[in-house]
Amino acid sequence: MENTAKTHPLMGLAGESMQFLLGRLPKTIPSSCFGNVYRRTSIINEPLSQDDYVRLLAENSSRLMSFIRIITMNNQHDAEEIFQRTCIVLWEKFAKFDGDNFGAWACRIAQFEMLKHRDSKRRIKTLNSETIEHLATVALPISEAIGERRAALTSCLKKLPDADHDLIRHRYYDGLSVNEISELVGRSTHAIYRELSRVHAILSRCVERTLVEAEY
Amino acid sequence: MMMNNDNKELSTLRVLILKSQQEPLSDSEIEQLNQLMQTDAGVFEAATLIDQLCAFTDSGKWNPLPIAVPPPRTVASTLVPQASQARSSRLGRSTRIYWLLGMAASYLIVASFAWSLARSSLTNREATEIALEAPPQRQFNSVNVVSASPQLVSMTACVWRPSGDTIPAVGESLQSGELLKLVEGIAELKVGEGTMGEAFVRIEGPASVYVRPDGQLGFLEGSMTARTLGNGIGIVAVDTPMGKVFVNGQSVIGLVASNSVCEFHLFTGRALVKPHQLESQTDDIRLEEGEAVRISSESADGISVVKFEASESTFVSARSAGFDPLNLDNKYVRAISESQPNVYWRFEKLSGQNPYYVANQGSAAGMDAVVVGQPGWRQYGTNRVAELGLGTSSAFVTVEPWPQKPLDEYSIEMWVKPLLFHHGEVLCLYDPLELTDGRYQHAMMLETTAQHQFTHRLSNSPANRFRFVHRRLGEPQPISATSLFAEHAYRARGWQHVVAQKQGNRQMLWVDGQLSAERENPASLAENVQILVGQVYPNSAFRRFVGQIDEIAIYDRCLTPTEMHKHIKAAGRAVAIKGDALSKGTGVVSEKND
Repeated sequence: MENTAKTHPLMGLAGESMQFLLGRLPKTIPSSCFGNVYRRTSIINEPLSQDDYVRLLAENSSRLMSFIRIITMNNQHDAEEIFQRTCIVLWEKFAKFDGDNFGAWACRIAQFEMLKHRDSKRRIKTLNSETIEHLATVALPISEAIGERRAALTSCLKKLPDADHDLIRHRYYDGLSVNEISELVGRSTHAIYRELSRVHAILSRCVERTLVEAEY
Repeated sequence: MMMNNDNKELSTLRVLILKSQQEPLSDSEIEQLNQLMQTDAGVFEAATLIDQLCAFTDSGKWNPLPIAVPPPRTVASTLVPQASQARSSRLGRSTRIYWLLGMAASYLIVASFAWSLARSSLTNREATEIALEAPPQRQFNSVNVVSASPQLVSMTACVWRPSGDTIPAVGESLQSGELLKLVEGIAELKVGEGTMGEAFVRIEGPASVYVRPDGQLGFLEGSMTARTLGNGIGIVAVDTPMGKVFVNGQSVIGLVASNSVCEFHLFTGRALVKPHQLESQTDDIRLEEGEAVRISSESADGISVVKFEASESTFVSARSAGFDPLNLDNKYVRAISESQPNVYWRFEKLSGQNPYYVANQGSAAGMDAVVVGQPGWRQYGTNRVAELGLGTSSAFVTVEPWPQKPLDEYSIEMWVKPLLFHHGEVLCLYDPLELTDGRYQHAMMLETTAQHQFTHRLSNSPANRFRFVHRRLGEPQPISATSLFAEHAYRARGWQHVVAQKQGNRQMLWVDGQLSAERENPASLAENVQILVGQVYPNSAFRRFVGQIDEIAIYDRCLTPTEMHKHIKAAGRAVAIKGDALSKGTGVVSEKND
């Protein structure tokens, strides 16, 4: 790879500042040094390339997005916005990346971007800074095991009693609002929320338990 | 599935989060939400619920946001079959299945998205960049091979003997001339990455390998397997003390080497062996699939060349962890129960919650095995076994002490399947009183051992054996006075029925129903010790066992040989033939170490 300016492969960025950054990102490190694999100390200061950034981001994008979606409380628009901003900041700061656990580094930056995004919003802010910090702390390990969690959740759904399963299906697969479900089954919205809460609790316990018992 | 440890606050928290998903919360609700999320339980509850909501968002409608990336294999093997088995609901079985399949499919799509990004970055890399350190080398036939420096890509329970200033680390490129001495464990290298000569190499400790100037490997001793990934003739070359082997693309070979004997096993593809002491090209040995050749120079008459059938069982890493399934059913459980164990852990399921535990099905009260770390599980038919030590250390420990009084006799019976040759603690009984240096005294230990090439108290002991230690607490005794080593090496990736037994002055170790070792040892088993499975100390990962275990049964008496044989037969297995069966499958490595 030559040290010439290239468009950012994921974000479509270009420009003088990007050229400057790319010009400072020379060649390779071993390909197996990415993701959760740490680089040995003796080459820790070896600069990283654009390819490295692309690969690291590709390898960690799911984890990063899962983390962002938790701290944004599954708000899709906020999550997309913060993901975009985070990718830009990661790219800008990539030369300073110390080579040690890209995923965790990206999540830390996403947390800062979340706080900045939250401050910039004019609409109601649901979570305060302190809560976001707490949430980010627990979201980090959760996002790390996102694949296992999804598999566990699928397995746990199978174990739900039919009535509970139907409630989840109405709400999330059929896309019915809580009001619509309450009309459908003839119960109050409060009762539906409580029922949903109960079923989610069952699923949460089941997922945690399944992870402990997880088969390889 | 019961909802445990739930309370009103958590319920309120969940309702608020659920409500926030479709309508704005009031100021007081926001305040309450933040308050509830600032407790440890609350924030964890919130995060796991939001994670569920993310999953449901994506399963209900395809969402281009990249979320979960489980390995496609997991999706295919776990999710889809589960979906296909989904019970029918009153609203229709098919809808439910589609939903679950949709969830699984979303993972696959996202996984392929991330993979395509990774692949594109790989393919964009210029070949010249990869070949920087690799001058053209001598070729078998006309294939032009270039190599990158080998890289260490994974390690399983590896113990290295330092050769120079550094200890190998995952992700590290190995430099020309570097010598790797693997004492135990399995190390995986990638050779020639990005070139036609790309290959995955697994080295099984004990073994020694060096890196040649052209980036290829020289293999000095031990066992290794290699899978070539490229296409072409003779694209990967490996030097051994007895000759050089050139391996075609898409081939799998196994090598066993020592100073005077080398074996070349070809499992897939083709390979050419050029013995060092034979000059003529007509003496080159072509191997076809399933063939192996042994070249030895043990006599003064030059070398001898013997062709024979290739054997994957010679190589631990050629077998999957699922090799040799242990299919047990109620017949086995009945046989064990008839022997009335005090402790009987089946590992079929976990009970409780924080901590989880394996319930004791024996007669002693309070002897459940509490989970430490995150053990894995493997299913063989209807039987589930525990898999320990892969990735991180994991273990099981009892909370209550056992036995209540000193025992002159006892038996500890179990099925053990080490995944590799290593020094690991299968089961031990330790004094819960911690020593000032953080260690604990042991009254009993059952271990797998390996070849210790560095200074170690077991350096002069036979390698790759089951070791049974029984000793009196508080009275340091030499190893020779308390240790028993099995007569033969254990089988890696194969199940063995092991019984450690004490009766009066006799200390006995039985493997597959045969008395493998015996000694005099008058010490009684100390009272009130604790049982630990999978590591040697309760609070550290030191000497972790890497392998599978099942059906641990502990008795306050001596099992008779008849009972042991009955148990083995109830497992659908045969009792070993005296002096023969124990060495089966241990391969050349173990013979060398015997």
